[in-house]
Amino acid sequence: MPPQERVFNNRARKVFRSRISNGELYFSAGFLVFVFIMGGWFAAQGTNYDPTERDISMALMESGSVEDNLYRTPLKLWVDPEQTATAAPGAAPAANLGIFPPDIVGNGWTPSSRMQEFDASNLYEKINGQAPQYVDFGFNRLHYISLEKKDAGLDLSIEFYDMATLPNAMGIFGAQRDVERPLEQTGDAYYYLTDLGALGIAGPFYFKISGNAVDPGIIEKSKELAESFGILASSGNVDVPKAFAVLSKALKVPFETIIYEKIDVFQFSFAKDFWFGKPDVAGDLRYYLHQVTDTEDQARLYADLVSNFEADHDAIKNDGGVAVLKHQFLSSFQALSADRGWIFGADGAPDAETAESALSALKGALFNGQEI
Amino acid sequence: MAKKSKGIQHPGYEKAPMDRRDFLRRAALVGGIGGAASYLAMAPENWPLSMRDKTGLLSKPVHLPFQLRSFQVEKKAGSADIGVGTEGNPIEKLRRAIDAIGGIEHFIKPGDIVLVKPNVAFDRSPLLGATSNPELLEHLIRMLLVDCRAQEVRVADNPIESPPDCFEKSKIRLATEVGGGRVYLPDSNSFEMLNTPGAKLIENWWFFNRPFTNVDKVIGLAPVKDHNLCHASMGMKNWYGLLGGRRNQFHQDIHGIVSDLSIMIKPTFTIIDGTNVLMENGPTGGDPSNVRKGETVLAGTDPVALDAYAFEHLLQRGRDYPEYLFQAEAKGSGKLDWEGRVKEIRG
Amino acid sequence: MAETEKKASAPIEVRQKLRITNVRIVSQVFFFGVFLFSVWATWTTRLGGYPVSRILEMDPLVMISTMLSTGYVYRHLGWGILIIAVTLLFGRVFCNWICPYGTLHQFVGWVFNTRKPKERIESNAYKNLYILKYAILTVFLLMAFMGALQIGLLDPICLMYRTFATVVAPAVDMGLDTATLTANGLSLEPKWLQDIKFGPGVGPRIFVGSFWVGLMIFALVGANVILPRFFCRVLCPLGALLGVLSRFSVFRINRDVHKCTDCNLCLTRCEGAADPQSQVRVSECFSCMNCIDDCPEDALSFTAFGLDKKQVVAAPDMSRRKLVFAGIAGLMAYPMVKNHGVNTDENFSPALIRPPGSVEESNFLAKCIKCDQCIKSCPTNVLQPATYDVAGLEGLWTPVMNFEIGHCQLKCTMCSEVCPTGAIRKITVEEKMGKGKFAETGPIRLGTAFFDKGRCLPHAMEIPCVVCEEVCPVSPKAIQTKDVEIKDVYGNVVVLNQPFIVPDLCIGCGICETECPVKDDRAVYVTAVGESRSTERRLLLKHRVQA
Repeated sequence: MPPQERVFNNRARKVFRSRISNGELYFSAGFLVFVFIMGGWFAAQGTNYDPTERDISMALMESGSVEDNLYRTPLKLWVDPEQTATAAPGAAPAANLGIFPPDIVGNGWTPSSRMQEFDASNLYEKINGQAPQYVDFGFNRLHYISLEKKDAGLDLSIEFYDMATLPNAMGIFGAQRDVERPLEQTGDAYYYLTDLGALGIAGPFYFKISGNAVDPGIIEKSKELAESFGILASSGNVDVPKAFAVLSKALKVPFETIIYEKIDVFQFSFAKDFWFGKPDVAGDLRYYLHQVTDTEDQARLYADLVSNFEADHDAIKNDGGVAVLKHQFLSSFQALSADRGWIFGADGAPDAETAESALSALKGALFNGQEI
Repeated sequence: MAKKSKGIQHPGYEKAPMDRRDFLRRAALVGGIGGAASYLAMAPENWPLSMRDKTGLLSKPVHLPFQLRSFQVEKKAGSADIGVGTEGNPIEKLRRAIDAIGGIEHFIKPGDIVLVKPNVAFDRSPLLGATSNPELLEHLIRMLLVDCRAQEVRVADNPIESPPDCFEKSKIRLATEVGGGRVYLPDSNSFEMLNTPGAKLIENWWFFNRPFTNVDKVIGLAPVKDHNLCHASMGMKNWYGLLGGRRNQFHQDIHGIVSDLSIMIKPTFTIIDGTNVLMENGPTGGDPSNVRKGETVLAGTDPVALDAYAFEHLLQRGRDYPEYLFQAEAKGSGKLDWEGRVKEIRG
Repeated sequence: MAETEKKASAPIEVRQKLRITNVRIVSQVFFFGVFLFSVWATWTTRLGGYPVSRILEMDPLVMISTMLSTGYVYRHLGWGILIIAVTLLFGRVFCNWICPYGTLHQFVGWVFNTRKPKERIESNAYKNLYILKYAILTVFLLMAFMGALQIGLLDPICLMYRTFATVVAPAVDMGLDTATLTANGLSLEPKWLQDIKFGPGVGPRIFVGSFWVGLMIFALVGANVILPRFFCRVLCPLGALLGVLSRFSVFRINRDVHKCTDCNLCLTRCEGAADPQSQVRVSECFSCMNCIDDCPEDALSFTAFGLDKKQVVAAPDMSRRKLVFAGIAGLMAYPMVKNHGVNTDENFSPALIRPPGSVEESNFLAKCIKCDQCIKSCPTNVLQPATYDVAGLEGLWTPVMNFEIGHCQLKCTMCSEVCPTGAIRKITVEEKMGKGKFAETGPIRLGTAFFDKGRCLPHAMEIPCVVCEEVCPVSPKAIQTKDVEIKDVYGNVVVLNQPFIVPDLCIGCGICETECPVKDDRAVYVTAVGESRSTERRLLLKHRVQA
């Protein structure tokens, strides 16, 4: 075995000299003091600096603030190549406007977003909290687009709710309407203006236009849009119930009084789908009409109505498909009739003549002067 | 080094024959070690002590995931989900906002260890709006330590830029230390694998867990910032700063990750610092002209509604909410519709 | 004599304790401590006003060689005069009293010295090899005079700082992290950890090619086992410079020939191999004073008086012939290094991105001493010792920015603050950002970012990303996006923010490259062209070149 190998130095420091001079002693002591002072100096340097060199003052940042004048290319929307093919060669591809009439753009207004559609399953993505309300009223589809007029710095968004039927649209409109504001009509569209746009219905569509500023340009555009929606609604492509058209167009019944009742009309379980309208907002006279469906029997329905009315009405006249009744307590008169698939009548009349003339006006409007 | 001659035996040569016992002993030793070694190396994988790895997959490193508990506390009766403070200096605004959601004593109990997560993502001066307001942080820590008698307040974030520098330049470190808290910086040991059930992108992901050791309550302190990709960085996006790993991949599905964050952590409540709102050029900012001096501090227990409210009122961007809010709502983190759930304390 | 001493002062125990060799050790410990503290304090949260580069700035070789290469003395480099003055008074005391590298060598040599007494005396005998350092000094100074500063390769202080910045600090931190993780399991890290780590609060710091830096110091320190103070005696150019200066020194080791018995015990621990047993070689003597302790006859003293000119060899043992050879080597080395051509304005690596405040490249190379203090100070780990392929032979281990690892923080000027030679000129945040009185010159640009559209997710793969745009720190952002809506290959309409560079605004900070998720070969990357420190490497005509 080799002797144990050493790893470390095991020799202690030794001093062989015998003499340590005073000079050495004094130097040593002095040097230790010097080292101590150096250490102190070094430590003291820690706070000896200018913190402003390590950051920049806000005042300087503000004075050196640069204006962001970069041109930012607007979002380039995806365009269906099929549409591009039909566009005139060389012309810019038209944006897909979907259901919206093409005249919503132009005159400086261009789409600033793609047309988006939402159905009941994802409606909340657009309007979140209010979605259930729409769905309750029979919401079918939301068409959404936003337009901008660059030179004027305006933009507005259009929420165009397809509520499937006009009554549904009227329902949501009634629920969200601001009754303080006057209603306007254009074509089949009824709307009122807000500070930032417009709210209204056009046929089965309920629309909301909201702009980015209180500006006459926005109001102007809202009116134009309402107009083109009105044309869209009366174009025949969309379904406007005839009863509504009769009331609103032929009889000029004010829009706010037009009411649709789906079930339990007059609290009779058999009576469904009636339209009501008052020719005079203040008066009590009220038209009502119902289009008999395939599953109903016109004569039977008429007879049921009259006989049920007679529970609290006195019959004044009941012949030839026309009945005139007087309410037992209210002393108001009503007249009703059934003809060519329609049940129609008027109630709340002050006297029998008024009721009968209202009935004939209704009949005239319904059958457009035929056979009168 | 004696030179050896051929055929002549070395003088030091000595014969040492092996006897039988010695042979047997050695044979047993060889057999024993060899047998044990063969067992360890060759025995089927499911046998005890077997070290065999037939497929090579057993030796794959395993990061055992942990789960984070919810830090929420029950709502105090009569308080709102979102508190708004608009009056007074920022500190009074903070107090009013928290009072509106039930008061800080309702949330923090004496002896709690509280972790505050500010946004310290960049080395910017706090006035540039890219980081949380240190004044609010300092005061929040004071409230926690003095009013609520919290045991300890920790402040942690994993910034994009160098952590020590970001905490220094944003004055967050100073504010924390003056307030009485302690800053935890992320280093290589700070991250652990977090399992978040139901998360789409971060079901198992590295999480800045070390400061969360024994934490009882978690408070977010988020600035409101513009963000090109996800439109707005607010209370929910603030939790991004607790992720580790290659988190820059998440920008490929930014709405997915932000909504995942809302289920990853359920904070006690979140404070939205609207004192310096970064309106554009976010989330880095860098120019005073990008910042709008806000007057509002928000506090809320529903992260989704709180972000929606901040988006509408602090960033002033209307109701065209970023998609991640809808996704977060769908993941059950809260209700987006804030209407009727906001309370402002005045006077 | 003995009587007066007894009367005058302290007892023999105190004298023993206060003897000069002990004080020397105190001095060495102190300066080594200052060095360690300096390395530790070279960190963004600690720096304050500590003169962390002062040991470098006191290094007279740094002063003289940069003076030769640039004609000026930068900022604090005048402190070198202090060491020159000390040397002119006391000889090479720097080597054994101050130099932390010398202390390291001496300590390692002492700890592992298992030689027998006779071998010790032999190992400390003078060898002709020891003149090599003078040749090295000659070569380096001649090269510096012509404009190629290479002293940093072997200057002990530079070497020490470089090694600690790139090798020791990360290794210590790694060890501490591992130890505390194991000890504490998954719980909180202890409070002191952040205080003692060299780089607290960041992930593991890596330094490209630091293996070779580590190997170099490992070999040089390890050489002590074979030949004591190998580096100091054979290679050290600073020691050589001080050796040349020390021929004029007032104090030196003197041998009283009348007392000397030629026992050679003085060689037992002679650090410099300076032949104290015969004619003392002043140029080799480190003034370690060990020989005084070891002389049983009290024949040796460190004194200015009673100089016996015959008993000393003042000048280095460097013959004129050797000097001429060394001079020729130096003259040859300069064109060879320069014409190597890896780092010229005609042919430079796109990865050669210098830290902010760096002076124009040829000037930079005339100033940078490769001490890597900047690299230690960098909070994001972006500063890396340059490898041979990036900066050439001449720029080996000089600082370059590697944006794969980190980025240059907008409001950080740490590297410029610690640079001792002005290769990275001292700048303020104001100047870096081009605000205030620097508005006209504009911000300091390190390079320019470019996109590789074949790899960029929104450009090439219909996947949203734009991390680069998000992190771009300038306002308005130098990375903007063109937003397009496309139908992806699966028929989904996706909005892509396709990023592009606005070169006017780009400052080359590299955060886009660092954060780019295309991890290996980034889809956005910064190259050196467009840097504002040089007209030759400028990109846009309208950009001003820094002062």
